[in-house]
Amino acid sequence: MSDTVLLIEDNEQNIYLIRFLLEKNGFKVEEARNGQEGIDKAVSIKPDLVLLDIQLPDIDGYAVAKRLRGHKEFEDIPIIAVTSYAMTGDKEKCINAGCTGYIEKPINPDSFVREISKYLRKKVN
Amino acid sequence: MVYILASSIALQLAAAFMALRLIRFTRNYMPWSLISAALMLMSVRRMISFSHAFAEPAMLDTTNEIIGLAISALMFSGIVGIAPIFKTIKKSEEELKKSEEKYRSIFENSVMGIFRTTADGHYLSANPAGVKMYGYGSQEEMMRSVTDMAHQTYVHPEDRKRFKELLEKNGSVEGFEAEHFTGDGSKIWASMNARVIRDESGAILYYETTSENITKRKHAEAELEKYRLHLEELVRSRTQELEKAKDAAESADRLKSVFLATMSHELRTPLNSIIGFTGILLQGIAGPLNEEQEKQLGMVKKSSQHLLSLINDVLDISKIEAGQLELQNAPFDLRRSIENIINIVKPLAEKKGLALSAYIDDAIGEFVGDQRRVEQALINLINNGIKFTEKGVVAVSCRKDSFRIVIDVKDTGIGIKPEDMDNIFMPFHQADAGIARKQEGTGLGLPITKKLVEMMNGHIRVSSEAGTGSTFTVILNAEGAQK
Repeated sequence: MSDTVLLIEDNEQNIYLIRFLLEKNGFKVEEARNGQEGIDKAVSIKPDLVLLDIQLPDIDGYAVAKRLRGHKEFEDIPIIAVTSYAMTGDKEKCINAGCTGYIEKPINPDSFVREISKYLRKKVN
Repeated sequence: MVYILASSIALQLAAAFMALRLIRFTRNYMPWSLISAALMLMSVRRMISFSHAFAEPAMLDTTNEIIGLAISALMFSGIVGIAPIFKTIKKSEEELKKSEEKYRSIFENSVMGIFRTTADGHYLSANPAGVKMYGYGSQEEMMRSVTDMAHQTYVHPEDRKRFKELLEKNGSVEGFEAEHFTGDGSKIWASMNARVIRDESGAILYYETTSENITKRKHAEAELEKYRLHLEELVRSRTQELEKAKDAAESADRLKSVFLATMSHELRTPLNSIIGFTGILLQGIAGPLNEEQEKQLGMVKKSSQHLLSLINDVLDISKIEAGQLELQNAPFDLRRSIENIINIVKPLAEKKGLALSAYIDDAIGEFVGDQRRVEQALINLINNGIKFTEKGVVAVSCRKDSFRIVIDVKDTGIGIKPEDMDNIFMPFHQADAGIARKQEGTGLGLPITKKLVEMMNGHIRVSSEAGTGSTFTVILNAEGAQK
């Protein structure tokens, strides 16, 4: 059974890109276009991994990560921040908010799937 | 006979003793000579009546003789007994006179005002200095003019009230300062010492006051106070200005920070699509590509990656200059970092037909600092070496002693002319305009590298000979970047 990735992202091109890349590599992709929708969807579908943009139209990615970690069933699910902020302390802020990992935009399509798989394997182990 | 003589001498001594008492008691009220004369007279009269009572009438001649003798004795003992008394009196009088002269002299010549004033505010006396101090022509004029000191002399009548209260309560006051009117209505400041003089029953006779004109001092103090207040005001307004400037600078910093974050985000977002979709197309997962398509997409990929590195460089130098770049401080394996870097840049060197060698000292291992930024600095230097070398070697060596880690990046490239040495670490500057066109890049690599190394408390130096090659040396503290 293929892993389900919940992509919380508001940029259409990025959604298309990541969905295409992941589906071609055998993942099932669900999407949410703002923070609140992301939290609701995450709670209802319980994905294997969450890809989380930080700059979202309603609530920011840090708050989304914090709220997700507040749910008991989300303790072990990897939440990976995917952000183009890349400012000092951004990575720390993501980790402090409860993210498992941090991938800088623009993503590298040659290594992106491998990086994500790494977090999924960690989870299984 | 002998009895009478003895009696008369005893009597005389008793009289002399009494006279002494009397003199002591009355010397302030009667001239001593008067007392002395009265005493003599009294003694003689007593002696005569005494001898009349005891002597035989037949022995009258003898009695007369005795009287003569007695008078002689009396005279003698009188001189012997009274002379010291007289001397003492004379001495006391002289002392009193001297002391009075002294007081008079002080009173007349003192630079301080000396006054006797009544409780109800009249002057009883004033010395010349005091008369002058209050601007009167004479002591008499002053005494005549001032009949109510509280209102005529004191600028603030309540000061006089306070002065009197203190004086009568404590018997004296010292250094009492008050503002006074002078005879012509101008104002002076006086500092007063005073004591109360009372009679034997304790009733107040007068106040004895010395007074010093401290107007100049007071004015100087007031002036000083004015300057102090002015200074305080100045400091306050300057502080306000500084706070304003600080607020402005801080808000400018915030703006800069927001601007950089926004730019960082906005510039990378379109690149995400460009690099992402190019990559996907090149991977062939969207469908097969023909050779020409693959070649052209390869160019897009290379250009977009170059664009990304330019954007990253510009953002880095901006962050550094805005003070927005902070270094991490965590232990990492420096040996493995350098090995990774060599692996990353090796294809570039091979492509140009250059040898890339690396020597890493056995002592190199864990280092505490910002791994990403250390790697960035080294990649910049090695890339530069490769970029500016057409044939030969780029050699990296990393050594460690007890204090320092020394990393050399040596190339056999075009080198740097002496006149360009000063500029190579300046932003947006490549050594030679001709080369700038030939070699792509923003010219930000070296400035960023230098800033990063310096932020790690290290330093960077370069030695070069034009046409022969260059050696860039990074020196870091062996203990770690923060030490």
